[in-house]
Amino acid sequence: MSLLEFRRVSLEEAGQAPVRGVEVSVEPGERLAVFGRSGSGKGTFLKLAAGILEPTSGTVRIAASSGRLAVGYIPNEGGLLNNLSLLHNVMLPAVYHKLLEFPEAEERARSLLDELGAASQAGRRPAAASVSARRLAQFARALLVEPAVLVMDDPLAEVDAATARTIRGLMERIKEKLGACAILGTGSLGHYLDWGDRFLLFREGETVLFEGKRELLGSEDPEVRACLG
Amino acid sequence: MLWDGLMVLGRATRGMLALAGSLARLNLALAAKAWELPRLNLRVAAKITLNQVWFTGLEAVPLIVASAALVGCVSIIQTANLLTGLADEMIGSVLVSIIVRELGPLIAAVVLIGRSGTAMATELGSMRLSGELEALKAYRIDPLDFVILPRMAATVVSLFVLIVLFDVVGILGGFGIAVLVKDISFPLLRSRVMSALTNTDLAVTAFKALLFGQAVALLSCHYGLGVRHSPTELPQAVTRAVVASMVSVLALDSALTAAFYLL
Repeated sequence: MSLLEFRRVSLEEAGQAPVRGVEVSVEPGERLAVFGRSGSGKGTFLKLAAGILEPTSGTVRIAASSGRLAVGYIPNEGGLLNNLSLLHNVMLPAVYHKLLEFPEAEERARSLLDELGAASQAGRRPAAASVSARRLAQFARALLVEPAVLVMDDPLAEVDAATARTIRGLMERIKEKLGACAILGTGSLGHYLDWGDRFLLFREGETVLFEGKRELLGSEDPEVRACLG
Repeated sequence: MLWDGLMVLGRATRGMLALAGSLARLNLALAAKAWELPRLNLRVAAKITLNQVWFTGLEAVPLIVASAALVGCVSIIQTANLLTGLADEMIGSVLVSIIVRELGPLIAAVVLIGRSGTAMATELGSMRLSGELEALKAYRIDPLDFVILPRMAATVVSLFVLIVLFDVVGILGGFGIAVLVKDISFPLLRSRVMSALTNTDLAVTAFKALLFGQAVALLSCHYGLGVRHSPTELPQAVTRAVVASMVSVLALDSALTAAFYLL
């Protein structure tokens, strides 16, 4: 059974790049890399997958199970509450939804940040923390609630090489440990070529699905060539 | 010419109705949330509410104390000048009428708008621009009960406390000047004020805190959430929040005064 299913989904709204008639489903453990130029609609697709936006037509179905949140979301920038420390940001969804008691959430959040190498900045507010620490805190927040679907917007952008290695490891771990499906959006597909199981190209709101790396690399589509760099 | 005037009037009316509709929707959603309170994580909500009370209430205390003391002194000096030979027994009524009924709630609300209303509009606008509200939504954390409801509760509670503080300090300031100028004993003044103060005054104070606090929080959150694309929208949102809050508070104050003391 699919964890995430888009059925003829369209969204045309002022301020958002449109998407039109998107049909795709993502199975447990599957990794879907969504790519396209800026303004092609991939960002809108990610927000629809994360439940931030509602489609104007069609349906987005996200499988929910008890004891875990349906979606974990890692935006490209921002997305952490500026009036909370990184540690409290990590704990927030788990405590808010009563998935964990406060002390347990704090202990697990600390241990996750420690494991990811961001423990030294756990007490800092996002504005005072480094880009890498903020990105790792977003991953820790998502891991703590063990989501069924993980939505990421270019998670390797702007981070240093060591953090990029940690994030690559995390992206593997999410599949193996949680059995979650993962969706990732990017404008530079080269970084994620080995990561994706399937690839979804966005071009002016419409989509082309590639079933694997071989099919993608064999494509002569100029948009694909541009995104592969 | 007439047509242009009608067009302007029509646009203004449409704008007002759209604002009223939007505020009514926000208010209804908040009321629905209040019913769901037992299901919410009260520990999280209480922490945010207390943080807001700290900023809105406690950090405003020095400003309220200073302005209340000055207003209390000025009220008695001006009244004594206007009514030469001001009868001692009127001093209690003057202090209660000017400070408790009118200036206390009004000045406390103005301080609240200047400090907390602007902060709320800026904070919510920034939260929208930095993607914080989107992230909350993705994690199924409703901004209504996590961001807005605690701010509204904290604003109402803080305003009530600030009004009471303003009244007490304002009356004490008035006492100080009255003792110096009129040479009246403190116990006599206290009994004059206590006899002038009615239960209606206390009820109106609580009601004004509820209405003013709700109006300021609602309008500040509404304009803050209206920021969409650019940081340049932030100062515009703050200005609109301040103007709308001031007008609302003055209109509500006039209506309440007329309802309770004139009718």
